[in-house]
Amino acid sequence: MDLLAKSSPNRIGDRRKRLIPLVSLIVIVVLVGLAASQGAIVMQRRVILALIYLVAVVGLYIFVGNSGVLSFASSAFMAIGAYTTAIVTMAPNMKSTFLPDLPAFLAIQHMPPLAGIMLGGFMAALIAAVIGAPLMRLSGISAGIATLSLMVIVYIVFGNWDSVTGGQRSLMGLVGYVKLPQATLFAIGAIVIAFIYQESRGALMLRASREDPVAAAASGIRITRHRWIAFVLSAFVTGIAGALFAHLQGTVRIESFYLSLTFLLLAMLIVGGSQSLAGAVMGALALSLLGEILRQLERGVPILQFDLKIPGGLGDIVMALCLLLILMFRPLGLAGGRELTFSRNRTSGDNG
Amino acid sequence: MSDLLNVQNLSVRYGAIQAIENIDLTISEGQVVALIGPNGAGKSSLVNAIAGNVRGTSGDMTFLTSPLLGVKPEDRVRLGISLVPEGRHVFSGFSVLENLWLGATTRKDRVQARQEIEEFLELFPILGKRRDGLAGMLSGGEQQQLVIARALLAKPKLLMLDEPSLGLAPLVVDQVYDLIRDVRKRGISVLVVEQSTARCFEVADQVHVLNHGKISMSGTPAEMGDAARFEAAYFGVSGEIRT
Repeated sequence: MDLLAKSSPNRIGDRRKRLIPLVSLIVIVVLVGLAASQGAIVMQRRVILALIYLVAVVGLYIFVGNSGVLSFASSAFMAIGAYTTAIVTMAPNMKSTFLPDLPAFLAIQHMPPLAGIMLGGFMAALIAAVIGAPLMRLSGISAGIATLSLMVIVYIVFGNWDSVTGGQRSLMGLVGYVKLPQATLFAIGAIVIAFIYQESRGALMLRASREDPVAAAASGIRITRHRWIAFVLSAFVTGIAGALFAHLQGTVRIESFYLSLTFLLLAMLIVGGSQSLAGAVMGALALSLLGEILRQLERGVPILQFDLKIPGGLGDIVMALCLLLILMFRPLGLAGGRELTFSRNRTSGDNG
Repeated sequence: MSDLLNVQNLSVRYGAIQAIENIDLTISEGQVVALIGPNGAGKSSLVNAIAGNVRGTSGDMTFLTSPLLGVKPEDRVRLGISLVPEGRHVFSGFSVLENLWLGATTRKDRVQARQEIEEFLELFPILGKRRDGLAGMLSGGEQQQLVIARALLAKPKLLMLDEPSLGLAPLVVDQVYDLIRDVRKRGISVLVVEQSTARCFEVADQVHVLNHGKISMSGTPAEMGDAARFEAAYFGVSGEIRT
């Protein structure tokens, strides 16, 4: 039985069948959440982090997967989400300690975490909407470089905007709102948003433009506009991931949102396969799992009478090696550009 | 017949290279116009300039009453200009049905568009049979039919075809030209670009010969005379003339 079918949501097809990929992914996430709930607290924390990465990778997928344009801006949008929720949810007395120069209208805010998280998503989307307007006219490598610059700019601004972000100092005292149930629900939410979007007519047009820009323009598709929509939605989901991250750690520091985070998220998307939602989900979970296994091995795991221990730093090398192997032997990623469907084939089109 | 497209003094320049120079061209409603010429004559540059795909154009273009310069390609589609680009640009990773659906992106009347898609699938049984199959798996001729059908779904007033018979078997080319006749019956104007003349002469009301970026000869097919002799005179390809 072919579990994977070509990612090509058929708008005029059987409605029930079209929901199978979505339901499959939700089931996977719920199973991960349930399994983790039986584990120790430390393990739960690792799984929560994996689910937050999943939200961020799904956010990245919404733009990269549908438009085919690479984006390095993930950690910028996560930083925006994280700082937004920190500033509006921290207790006023904490803020007067960490951010004595904060403008008054922000200093008096004391929102519940959920509101802060949503606001974090909206702020990221707002900034993406403004910056995306000129950015989405670019294509290919220049668009990628522009998003990289965006990430660097956000990093530098947030790292020096002492009155609002505290600059290089950490912000502390955020509510530890994100537990396993919340992380699972947000992961499901991100998957649902990405799925609804990818089934939309606009996303179909965007994927068509990814495949053949000439034919897309000839069909009257407004590529720039649809890219922009995907970029803003992507920033919203990614911003929420950043806010969740802040409410998991309880602290926010700008160093967390830089190159290593962006590249980790991109690696997850590429390993899973950037052309399907299943790929984004599988990549986030697979690399989180691999990272965890390697981390344990670096610490040492007793197996029978041996103590299996790999030298420190080898984990990173193995991780890089995995990425390389995927790129060489499965360039479309683990999911191979397909969604989970559990059906035999797609009528006459199964030869693709 | 009133003018649909009016091109005046159109030039296209790619850096130092002058692709076409001071071209005047008028297409009336319901007219089939053929543009022929050898490789590098500037045929594709001309249709792409009309479709809005090239920069560096100068001159005047009017479609019905709208000036075209400065209008983006995707918005020219909305005005009623559809180009079938050279080389059969199907969305190969998408199904036949999705390809047709993507052709109707500019339409507001989606119910009507869906109905038309079903009609096309009946009109082209081969596409109907493979409606859920990937467009990339179709043969060259089938892809050409699909691309033309996709362009027609945008409800164009002017359909431009850039070398529609390139790389197709003669029998398949016949089908493509049957399709062009069918398009004309719908009252849609056609601008067809070809290197070979014979088939163009069968369908065209007006023929323009493009050479080195300029229109070197214009007229009805009858005025152009016998196709073979014409070809020989202009391209030096016919065996009987060669010494």
